[in-house]
Amino acid sequence: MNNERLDELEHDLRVAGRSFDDVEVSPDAWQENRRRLRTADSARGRRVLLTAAAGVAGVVAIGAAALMAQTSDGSGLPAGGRDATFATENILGPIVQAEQLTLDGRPTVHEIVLTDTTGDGPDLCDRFVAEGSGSGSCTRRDLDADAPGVAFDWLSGTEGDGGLRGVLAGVDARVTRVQVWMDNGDMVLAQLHPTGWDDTSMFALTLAGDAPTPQRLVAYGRDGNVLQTVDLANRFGRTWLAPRTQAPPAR
Amino acid sequence: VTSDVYTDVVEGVELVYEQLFHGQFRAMVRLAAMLGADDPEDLAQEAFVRLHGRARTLRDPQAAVGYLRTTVVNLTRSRLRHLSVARRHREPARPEVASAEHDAVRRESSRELVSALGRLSARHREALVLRYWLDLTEAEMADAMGVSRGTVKSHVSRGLDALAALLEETR
Repeated sequence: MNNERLDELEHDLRVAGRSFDDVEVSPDAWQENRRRLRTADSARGRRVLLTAAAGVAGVVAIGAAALMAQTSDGSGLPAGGRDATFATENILGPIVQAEQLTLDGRPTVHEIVLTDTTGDGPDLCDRFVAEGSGSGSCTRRDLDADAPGVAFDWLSGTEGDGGLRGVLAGVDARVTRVQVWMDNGDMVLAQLHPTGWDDTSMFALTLAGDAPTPQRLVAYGRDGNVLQTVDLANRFGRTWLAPRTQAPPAR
Repeated sequence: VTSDVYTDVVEGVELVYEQLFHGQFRAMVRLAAMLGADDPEDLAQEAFVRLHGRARTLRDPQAAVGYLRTTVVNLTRSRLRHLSVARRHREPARPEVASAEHDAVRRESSRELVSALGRLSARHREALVLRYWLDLTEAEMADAMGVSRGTVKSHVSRGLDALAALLEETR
């Protein structure tokens, strides 16, 4: 790049930075901070115990065998920020604690739920909840969900630090079991949870560290017939199966 | 007497923390937004909660600001990987959860450049944001990014090249 172009780019960069000068913050940010600090304080004792346990298991220890499924009434660990997707008035069924894992060195619960905040139809939403914070997002129902060849009505993937790979999916009423085939040839059965809507089911599977990557999903019907097969690399892009870097968790 | 001293120390730390919050919270939200965080305010809150547990850092306000900056950078990088993939893999974003970054960008003519910046690698984006938008010194950047000053220079240089190339593509 020549000097003239460099000067121009640097100038443009500085100008563009001004677009963030009017970033707004919530008027009750301080009160929210006090609330989070109280939550963090009350959880401190539990965190010490769980961190010690996680140290034995490795940096990020998540595995199909360790997955725990419970139904929550929504009063479990608090989520951070505004979260209408998990509000009682919007959810269509139970909030399910699909997994318990350790992310960024902190015990984290992966919650999933079917919800409708806009009246546009059900979205499958998830959030990773640690003490005082939470992050997640939603995926829309497949536009072709009602077609006979489609059993995975909702499907999304997640990547994260520590070589994390996650699959979140919802299947229609015909599906009785879902096989998750890994890139090393292993297979696990997904733990299906009722969504509370139209007899559909949902599941989440998050793996990290040295664990294999989910490569293929197979949905079976009541008679053992295959309803749909999804190769995740085709859906999520070829980087899905690329060798994973195991960056240290953020500090 | 010991109890009084302890109380004074605790109250002093709390006072410093409160002053830091009111003085730096918006700056940290802004930094997270610049780095492309999906929920900048949530990240800034998280950074302050982590700072609160470090009384020693709080004794030096300058170090505390550096700690906050580093935490925001790390948290944004960590979540960005999740969220960027989530955006790519999932259906179009829900209109009601437009990020603060998008809100700011819409109002400005620099949209294209900010968009290109968002497509850089996390490290390149961090380097350019800290250098050109926060006007940090190389030492401060190295501290915030957890790398050497030489690496900072390299990230800035390569980041500019990558940004120029992306802008060329879109023109």
